[in-house]
Amino acid sequence: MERIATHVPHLDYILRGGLPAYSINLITGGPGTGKTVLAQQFVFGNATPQERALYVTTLSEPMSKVVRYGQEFTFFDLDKVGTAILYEDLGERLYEGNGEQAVEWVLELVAEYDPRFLVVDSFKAIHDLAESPPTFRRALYRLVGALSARACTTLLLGEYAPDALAEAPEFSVVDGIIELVNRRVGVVDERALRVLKLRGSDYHTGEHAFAISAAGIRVFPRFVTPPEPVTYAVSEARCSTGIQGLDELLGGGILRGTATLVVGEPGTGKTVTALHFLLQGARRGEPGVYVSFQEDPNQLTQIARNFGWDVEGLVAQGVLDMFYTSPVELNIDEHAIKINERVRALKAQRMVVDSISDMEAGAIDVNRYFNYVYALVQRGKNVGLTMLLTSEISEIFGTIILTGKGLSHIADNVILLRYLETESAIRRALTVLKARGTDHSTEIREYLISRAEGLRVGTRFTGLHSLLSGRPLVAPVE
Amino acid sequence: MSAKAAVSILVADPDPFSVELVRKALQPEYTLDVVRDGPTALEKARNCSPALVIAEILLPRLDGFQLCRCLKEDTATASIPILVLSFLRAEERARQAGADAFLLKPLQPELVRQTVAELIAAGEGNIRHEIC
Repeated sequence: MERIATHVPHLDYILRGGLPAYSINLITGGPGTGKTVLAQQFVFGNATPQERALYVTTLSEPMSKVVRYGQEFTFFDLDKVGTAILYEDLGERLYEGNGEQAVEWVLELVAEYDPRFLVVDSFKAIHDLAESPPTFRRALYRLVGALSARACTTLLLGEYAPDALAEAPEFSVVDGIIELVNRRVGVVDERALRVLKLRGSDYHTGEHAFAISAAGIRVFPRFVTPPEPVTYAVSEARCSTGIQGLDELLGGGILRGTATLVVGEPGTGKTVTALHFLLQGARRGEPGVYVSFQEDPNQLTQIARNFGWDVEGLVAQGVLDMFYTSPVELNIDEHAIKINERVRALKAQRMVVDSISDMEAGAIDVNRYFNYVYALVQRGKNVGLTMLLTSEISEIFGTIILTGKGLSHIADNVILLRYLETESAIRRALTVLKARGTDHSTEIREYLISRAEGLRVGTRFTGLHSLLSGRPLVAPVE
Repeated sequence: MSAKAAVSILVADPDPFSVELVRKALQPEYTLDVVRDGPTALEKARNCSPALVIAEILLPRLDGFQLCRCLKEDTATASIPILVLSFLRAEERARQAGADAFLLKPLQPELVRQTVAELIAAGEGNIRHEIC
C-alpha cells in the first residue's frame, strides 16, 4: 500500500509508514490539542505546485487564524501559499447555508482544484450546521464516495466529544482516526496522540506523547520493549568500572553490553560509582552518556572536580555527554527518544542513568515504570551499550527488599551499597549480589570514599557478622 | 457626493470581517467595489480602471501575488496603485509582485485611511472619477 508521509516526526512510525494514500482521515481532539498544526504540517510537507493541497476553513477555524498563527511555525513556507497550498474559506457562506450545502461546496472546490491533499478545518462545524442527521449522513456518504474516487488524501478535523465516536457517522465512514488529547497531570499538561482506526494497516496502538514547538508537532512513540529478541552479540569482553577493587569482585570487570544496577541508600556513593564508570570509559575512548535527574551537569561537574576529575574536558573532547532532565517535567517517552539521539550522536559505548527511581514519577504507574526501564535496558543492549543504573533505597540500617518493584532482574549485575553501624560510627559495605554469567565474589567488603581516590573497595569486615542487616553483630571469639 | 466619493476603489478580499473594517475606514469618502476572488478582481480592474486596488494575498483561484503581477503586466491596469492587506507577513514578496504598499492584518483603520489617501494622491493623474 502506498503511504503518504505525515511530516510529523515519529508519527509515520506509529502509522507503520504514514497515512495510506488516498485515505480519508479524521483528526479529532479538544480545543488547543494541535489538530490544525498537524494538518498544516501535513500539507506544507507534502504539497507542491504539481500536487496541490486544498485547505478549506469553516466556522470554528477562520482562514485568518489558520494563516496568521500557522506562519509562526518553521515549516510554514510562504512560497507554497497560493501555488502548492490553496486556502478556501467557507465561513461567510456558512452564515447562511447549512452543513449539507457545505459538503457540496467542498465537493465543488475539490472538482475545481483537483487537489492531491485536502483538509477541512473544521469538519465538525459543518456537522453542527446540518439540517438533520439523515440528510447530513447522505451528504457525508456522497463526500466520502466522491473523495474515494479521487487520488486525494484527506484530513477532516473536528472537536468531537469522546462519546461522538459511537454516534457521529464520520467515525464509521473514514479510513483513519487520530485522536489528540491534552490533559492535566498534577500541575503539568500532557499531550497524547492515539490512533483509533487505520483501515488496511497495522499501527502502534495506545497513547503516544507529543509536544508542540515552533517546529510543529513532534511525537514520542510510547517506549516499549523491542518486539524482536535482543540481537546483540553476547560478548565475553569486560570493561573496567574504574573503581579500585571492584573489578576483581566482578570477576575482572563488567561484561560489555550488560546492565548493572547499583542500589544504595542516600549518600552511599551511587553517583560517585556512576562517575567512576563513565569517566573510566571516556578516558579510554569509550564515549558515554550520563543521564541524570537530581544533579544537573554543573553539580555533577562540581562533584567530579572534588575528586580531581575533569568532566568539562571530556565533554569538550566529545567523549562525554551530560544529559540532565528535571524529574518534575519528565515525560518518559520523550526522554527515551532524546536518550537515543544522544547515544547515537556520541556513538556511546557506556551509559549511566542516575537514578532510575526518578523515572518512576514520569511513568504514571508502577507497571509502566517497570516496562519502561526494561525497554530502556533492552534497547541499550541492542546497540551494545554497557549500562550502569542507580537506584535509591530509602531503608537505612534495615532489611532491604530489592525485588519489590521487580527491578533487580532487569539488570544483569546488581551491586549493593549500604551503611553499617558499628561502635558509634557509620561504615560502608559493598556486595556484588549478582553478576550474570560470572563467578563473582560473594564477599562483603568495606569501601571508602576519599578526595584522593574516589571510591575504593577495601577488605572484608573481620570480627562482624549479620552485616546486611545494617546492624552487624560482633562475631563470637572462637 | 464629494469628489472623493466618486473615486472608486476595488477591494478583493474573501474575508468579510476584513472587508467590513475596510468599509468603516474608507466609506463614505470612497466608493468601494468588493469582490472575493482573484479572477473577478482582475476582470473588474480591467473593465473599470479603479483608482486603487486593495487586495488580500489569500484570494481564491488567483492569489494576491498573481493578481499584482497580472495588473502590472497589463498596460491597461499597470498604473493602478495596489495596496496589499494580508494576514501573511509577505511584504517583500508582495512588493516584488507589484504592490505599492503593504499593511499587515489585523487592520488599523486610521493607517488604512492614510495609506489609501497617499496612494491615491500619488496616482491622481490616472484617476477616472467613474463608478463601474
